[in-house]
Amino acid sequence: MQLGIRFSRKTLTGLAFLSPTFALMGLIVGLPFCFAIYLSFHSYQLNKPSVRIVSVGFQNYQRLLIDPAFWNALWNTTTLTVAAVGLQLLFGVSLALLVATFRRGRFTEAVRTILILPMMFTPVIVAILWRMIYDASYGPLNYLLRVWWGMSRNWLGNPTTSLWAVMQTDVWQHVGFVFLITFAGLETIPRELYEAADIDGATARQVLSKITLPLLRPYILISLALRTVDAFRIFDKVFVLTMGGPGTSSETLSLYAYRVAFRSYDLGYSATISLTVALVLLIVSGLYTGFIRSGKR
Amino acid sequence: MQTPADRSAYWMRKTIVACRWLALIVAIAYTIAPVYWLLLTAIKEEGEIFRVPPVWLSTHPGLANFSSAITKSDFLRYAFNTVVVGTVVSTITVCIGTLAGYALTRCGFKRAELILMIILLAQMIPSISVVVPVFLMLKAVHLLNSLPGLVLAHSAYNLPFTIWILKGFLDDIPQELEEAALVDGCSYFGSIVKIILPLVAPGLVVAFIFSVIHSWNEFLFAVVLTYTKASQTLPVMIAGFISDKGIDWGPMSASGSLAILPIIVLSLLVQRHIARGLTAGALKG
Repeated sequence: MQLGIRFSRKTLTGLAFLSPTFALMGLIVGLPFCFAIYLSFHSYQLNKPSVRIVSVGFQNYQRLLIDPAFWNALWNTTTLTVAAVGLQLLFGVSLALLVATFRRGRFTEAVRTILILPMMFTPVIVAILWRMIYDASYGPLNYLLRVWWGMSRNWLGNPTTSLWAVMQTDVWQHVGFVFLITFAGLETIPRELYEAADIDGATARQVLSKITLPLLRPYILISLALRTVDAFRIFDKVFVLTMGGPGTSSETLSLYAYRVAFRSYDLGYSATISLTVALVLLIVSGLYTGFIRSGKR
Repeated sequence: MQTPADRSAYWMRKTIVACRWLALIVAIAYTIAPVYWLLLTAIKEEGEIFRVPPVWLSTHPGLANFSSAITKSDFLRYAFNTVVVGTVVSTITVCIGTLAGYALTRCGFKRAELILMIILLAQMIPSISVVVPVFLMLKAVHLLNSLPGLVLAHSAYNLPFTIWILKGFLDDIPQELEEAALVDGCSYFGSIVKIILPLVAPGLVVAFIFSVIHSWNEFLFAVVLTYTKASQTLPVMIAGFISDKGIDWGPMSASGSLAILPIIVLSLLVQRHIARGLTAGALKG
């Protein structure tokens, strides 16, 4: 009896303590998200306040399917995400393995601090500093390329390179993120495993593929998932570096949704575009959770 | 007596060590060079910025760009907004997040993990999906282009991460301590104030700092929900240096350098917790 009352009081306290969280999240995330879904089935022009919100059924979604600008943005976003995250994983994991070969101590700590510096940077500042470096006339990158290889490009102003130039800035900022997580993961691998492998005469390659990488798997997976959902919604860097241009050569989904909402004032269609971003993120996080669960069994 | 095989193995090892150092130096140079360029451009004088070949080491370093950023571009006003939003947001998220973290770790919910999952799932909703509705809502209550409006948006978006971090710290505090306090006649509320809060204090600081960093760096809400310098934050101001008329490199770099400085200091303080904060919860699935 006594126990029952205490338990329910505990639960009530818990619910009371959780209520501000749910209130705030519901108000600023839940409710607006539902409203975005509602908007995606309606036509709502911000620049024509006299025209009310009109229900249009699936028209926005039908328009999406035949909208070349949408497919272009989807393609750009996917390309950028796959390339950026792939390179981040490749370099991040390699760097973690590399730094781990040095004796852990002050030196590796200092190296770690330097390598993770960019991930804390304001994305907008990352964008402006790379914009200066890429600059066709005064940027140091083009100068060095010209002197060393006799080539120079207008990286951001050329439709064939603009998306890759944006992608590279994301790699620069977040290699450290993958490095940090896998480096922390390496610390959790028991030393005895390596000693045993050494006694058994395992080669360096065998140690890597049979011990290190399998045990790093959860850390690589979480970096993959977190980086993918972050890269797929990229907005600020594109906004500052190219504004999606030249033309729409580097336009991503978030930027396209923004443009449709605040340049064309078509809020219904913008909501539809933005929901595809949400859908991809939910799928990725669902897949990740599934992977982790299946890995545990 | 050294055999040729010994000698070649020796050189092999030397080469591998040299390659490792080379790779490390390249990685560090790639990381640091762009930051150096930002700081360098900030202290260059006008003529040096637009010189070919580029000036790698400023011969006339000066603070002209900084004073221009402060006097002409009103840097301090934007900095003030950013600091106010950051601190208010972090105070809100840490207070609400501590309550939620306590509920999730101490109140015997059988489904605590599920509740946490739902909270974290909200982070999978990209801000681009909610920014238009939030814009319309804030417009309806006349909070558009105001600091409170931006604070609301940032608070909601920083809260899940704050809860995640705090839950990690709360999990580390043994429950027996509070139970002992309760047995000794300490009140329920007293056990929170006297036992838990002092022990979780480092966690509160870490969560606060992370929240400041996220709010400081946030761009999409800031650029949509604010449009005058009465409430715009630093990222919006810095992005504003890029206009159709050209880019004001010097003051832009100076503003960027100043804006990044507090972030670097703060992240050095919490760097130990980044990996732990990011993975601790996630690896449990």
